[in-house]
Amino acid sequence: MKPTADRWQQIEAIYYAALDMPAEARPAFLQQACADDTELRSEVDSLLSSHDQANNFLDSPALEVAAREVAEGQRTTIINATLPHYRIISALGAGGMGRVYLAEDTRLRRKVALKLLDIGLTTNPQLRARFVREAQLASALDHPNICTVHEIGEAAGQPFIAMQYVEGQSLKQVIAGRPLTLDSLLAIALQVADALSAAHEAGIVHRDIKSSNIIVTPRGQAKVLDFGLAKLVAEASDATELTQTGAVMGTPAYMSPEQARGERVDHRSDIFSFGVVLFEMVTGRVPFKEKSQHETLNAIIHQPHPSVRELNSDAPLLLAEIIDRALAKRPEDRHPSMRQMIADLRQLTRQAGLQSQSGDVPDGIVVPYVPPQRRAFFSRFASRLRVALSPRQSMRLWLIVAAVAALAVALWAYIHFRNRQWAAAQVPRVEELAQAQKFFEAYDLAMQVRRVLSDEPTVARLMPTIGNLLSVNSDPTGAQVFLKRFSPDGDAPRQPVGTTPLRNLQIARGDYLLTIEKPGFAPLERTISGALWNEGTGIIIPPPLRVEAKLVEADRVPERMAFVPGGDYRIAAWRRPTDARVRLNDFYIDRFEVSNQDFKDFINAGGYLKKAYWKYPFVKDGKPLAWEVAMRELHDRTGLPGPREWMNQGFAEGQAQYPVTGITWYEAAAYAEFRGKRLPTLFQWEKAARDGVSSFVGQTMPWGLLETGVDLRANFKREGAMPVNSFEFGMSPYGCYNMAGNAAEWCANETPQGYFVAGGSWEDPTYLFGYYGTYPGFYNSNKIGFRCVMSATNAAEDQSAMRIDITREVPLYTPAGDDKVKEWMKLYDYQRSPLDAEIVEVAETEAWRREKIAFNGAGGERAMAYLYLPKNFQRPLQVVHLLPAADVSTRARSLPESMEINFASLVKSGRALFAVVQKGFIGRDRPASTTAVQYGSAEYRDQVMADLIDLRRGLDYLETRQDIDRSRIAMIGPSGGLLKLLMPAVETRYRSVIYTGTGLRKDYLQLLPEINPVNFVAHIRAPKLLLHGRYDEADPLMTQGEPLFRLLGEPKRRIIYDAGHIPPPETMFPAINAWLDETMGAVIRN
Amino acid sequence: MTTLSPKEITQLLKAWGNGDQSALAQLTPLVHAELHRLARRYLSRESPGHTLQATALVNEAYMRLIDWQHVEWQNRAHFFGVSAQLMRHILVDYARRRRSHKRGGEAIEVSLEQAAVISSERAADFVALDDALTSLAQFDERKSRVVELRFFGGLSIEETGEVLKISPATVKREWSLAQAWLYRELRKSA
Repeated sequence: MKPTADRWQQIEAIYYAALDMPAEARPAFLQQACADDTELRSEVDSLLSSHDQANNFLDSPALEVAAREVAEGQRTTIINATLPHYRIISALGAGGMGRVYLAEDTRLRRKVALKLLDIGLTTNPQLRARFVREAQLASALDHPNICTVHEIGEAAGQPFIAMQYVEGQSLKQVIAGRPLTLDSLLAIALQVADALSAAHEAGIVHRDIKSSNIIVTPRGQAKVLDFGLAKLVAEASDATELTQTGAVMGTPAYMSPEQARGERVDHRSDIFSFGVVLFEMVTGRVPFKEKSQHETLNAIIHQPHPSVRELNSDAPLLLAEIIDRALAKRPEDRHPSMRQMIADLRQLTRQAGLQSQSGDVPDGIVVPYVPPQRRAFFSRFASRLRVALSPRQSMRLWLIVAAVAALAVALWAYIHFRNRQWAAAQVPRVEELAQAQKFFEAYDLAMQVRRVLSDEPTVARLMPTIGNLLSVNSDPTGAQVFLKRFSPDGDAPRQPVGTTPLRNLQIARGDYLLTIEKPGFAPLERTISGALWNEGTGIIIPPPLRVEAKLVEADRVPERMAFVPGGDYRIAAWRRPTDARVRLNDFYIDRFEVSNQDFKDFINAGGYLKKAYWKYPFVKDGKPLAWEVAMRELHDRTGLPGPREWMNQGFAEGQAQYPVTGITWYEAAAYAEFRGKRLPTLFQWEKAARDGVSSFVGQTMPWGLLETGVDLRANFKREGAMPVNSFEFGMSPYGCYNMAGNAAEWCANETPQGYFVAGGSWEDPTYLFGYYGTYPGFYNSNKIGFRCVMSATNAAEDQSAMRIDITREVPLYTPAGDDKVKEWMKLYDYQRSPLDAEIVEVAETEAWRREKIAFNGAGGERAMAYLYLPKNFQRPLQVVHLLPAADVSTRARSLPESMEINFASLVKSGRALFAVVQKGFIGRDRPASTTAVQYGSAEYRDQVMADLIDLRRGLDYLETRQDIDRSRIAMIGPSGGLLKLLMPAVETRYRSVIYTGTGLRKDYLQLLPEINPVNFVAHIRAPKLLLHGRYDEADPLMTQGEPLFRLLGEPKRRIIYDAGHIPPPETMFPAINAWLDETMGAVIRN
Repeated sequence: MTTLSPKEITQLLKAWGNGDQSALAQLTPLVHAELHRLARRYLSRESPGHTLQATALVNEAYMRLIDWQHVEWQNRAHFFGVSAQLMRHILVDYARRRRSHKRGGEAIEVSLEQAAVISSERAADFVALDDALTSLAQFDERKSRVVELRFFGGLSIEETGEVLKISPATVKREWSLAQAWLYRELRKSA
């Protein structure tokens, strides 16, 4: 949204001022600067939180970013070829003297930071040997605050250093241009000083001490990197004349005067550099920083450094003195040794009343590793409001009148006091509700507190999180605005909140239904969402909500349609068939899917008989069909023209308001023509459905981010379609219903494979909202319907109806040799320790008994599983082990919910169904620290391996059951996924394996070989059944299904059905049951 | 490789700045050539990775494309502006094509397993950045130009100040806010 010029200037001014001050000082400043202007406050808060996350992300010029991206693609392969026992996982960045990679030492199976020095040592073998020798010497330092060097060597002329991989931020990042608190500063400084002292005593000078060479771990431990490297690199470079004239090794801003002059240096040079780091920690900046390197060096040699206390008046005098001494121009004026420096720092620690010892992580001192925004939100605040009111009541009998008056006053004071006491007591609860992200409740309670304690500080601090601001403008203005909170039963009242333009209405954070009404204009309805953005590393408070609505005269907007303004549009869904940006005209779109009743009108009007409605040439199996021939294909069950499931040109009773399905693209297009409308282009459809919104985290739905409770907002995974006006809280930003789920919808654009279908259907899982399928024009199904659009202008500029060519390449998958795979298989061995299994919950229905079981999973951690036991079948039972699809892993559904929705039929036909609650599912969170594990990394591998152990412990448990036939266990894996492909390869207990819509995904190429399914699938010994949809939109048949099928060994069988990702049950269950009968034997009913 | 002289390049840039689209066809291969040349140098470790010299490399590449020294002083500002625009145009277009080539027509192909990882690509997502920058220009033209000059044009704070006739301190502040705003915008709609 565009702020006005004045507004933006105001935002700028406060933002700049806030940025210039330490984080601690900001809240008070913002409070004062923004006063009552809550919108201003929100916007600035939001931008500041974004600034903290953004971390100068555009600092390198575009040409460099682009070139590095090109280079990086090729580099990894080259390094992997040169350094065989290291495997590059990812680039960590460019360090002082070379590039640093996160790599795995494949011999020792540990993570290392691999630094490739950017120096050539190709010519002189003696120099090479010396380099390695000296580097080893420097690396012999063993100290908790010095990063351990594992190996130094060279391969093909490339010197490399493999060192301990320390997770954390560099001190430079921790400082981030702002002063540290004194306790953080001392905690870090003492550790670094101790490391330097130990090195100096061993005769090693660092020569390149700077804040980016010091890593601070999340636990507050400091690690100094690159001891002695500067010297080695300088010498090596001199020897090979690689340094260009005038270039100085090291980092100018941290150099000592003697270093800057190019003189010999000793440990006192490190003391100076350490002084620079101290200066930076206190003031947020380095003492000498001029426009050019030359000028900086000049300043270091000749200029006095700026006064510490002038830059940060809070700095203790003693600290300023320590820094002044360290930064003395003459080495002999500095501390004679780091020991002396440590003594001074300790003195300061005592003075500041802090307990600390060098070398250790001091208790109770937390280094600010967590990004500030997150800290502000999550930290518990010790300070609570204390109400210190104690009304003195002195009553004397001899002054009755006065006494009565006093009593009244006292009573009033008492009530007031009680109110304040009550309000103060609610504050912790507000904080608790906020932590639990129950923002409606937190906000309501906070507002009650505010009525009594208007400037309660905790409430003020929480307000940007639990509250939100809403501005609504409409063109024309003067429209009434209503809000209705989202709730499970949808019965929250609709409340009028004002008239447009509505500025900065304070509301609770959360989701709402918004209505804008003005007499004479078409009312506008939509959902709005204020959910916080969780970055994985921190939370960004989204900007305040702003709605700009263009109201259109009621008589211009066709009935049951919504107005969508035009403009440029680009597809935003994860899987996008095209990146093209196209121009859209203003248009109207049906708010509802075309219903059976609507379609009946078309038939009644002779729609199938009037050739004029059928404007698009028919093509079937690549061949054109004449209209007369084509029309013979389009008939209902009785042979009359109409949708495939209808009889006698009529729909089933009670289905008038259900979406019409079972129609081909041609019928949809003809209907649109009949109404004077069109099918929406993919661009129009998506604009109306999600208005360009897409998210890095989680799935985007028409109403915002997907959270649990999707069944209250859309029709996914149910028995059938629902009336077209279901789910008001699932409405899109333009007020369209059921764009996600219910009937999937035909779109206008043609592709070589047919036409697009968007939105997912009632039989699909939620994630199909983000995928666009393509089906032949003659395809029809009870899952596919449509809606229409109309141009709102006469302009003919709309560009969105173009043909879209989707050409998909199939990567070349080459499995590793058998001997390697055999080696890797050993990595999957695990301890069969005691399970300590117990049944913790039982539920019974007519058809089955459901047990929830707890047992010891991977790493001895308690894991959970669900077991469905069919009634009335002979024991021991065959069992099917389910590895669920993304509906469960993305937490749209709980595991038992998904099992019952998707696989009840399996249980009812006589086999037990079993599944383990894997980490990340609802009810079993992964620890927060692992959520940001990088795909393809060694941690990711470890995570996958641990997940597999959980699954296999589940099989161990099944084997202990008397009522289960341990020799008849099958696995079923709906949809794609790593575990489903690895599990039956490493696990020999399956007698049968079933996949539906499963394939190899291109991103498997990024995985370490020992977990890459490409290497393993040929080793799945059990017989395999694959069901795959010809039009699979998530794991396409040709690019993903086919490569998997080819790699699988015999015995295998494949059934290709004529639908999308999700097999129709009438195909799936008979096929699965027949397959299980064949591979495991029939089941016997009691 | 091209054989165009700096002077010819300057002429082409001027022509493009005046709306001559055919100049683009001649300039684009030059930028691509620099891009790949730079990539090769990053790759072959020719550069002693020293930040200073890595910067020098990029500067050198920019210099070869844009002949700063030989532009008459009065035109410098205008000239920088045009070149930054050109770099933006070509690099965004390159990113668009490279992506669609790399992914075989599917612009973004991400499995749910990988969804958490995409965020690291956001800086390199020139296409999205280009969009966001266009939105920024709608209410703060100058900040969008700061970003265009700094990021796409490779100009320093001081040079950017010279072009826009504002102080370096102002450039710095605007640069910071522009980045915060853009980051949020990119986060909002990828």
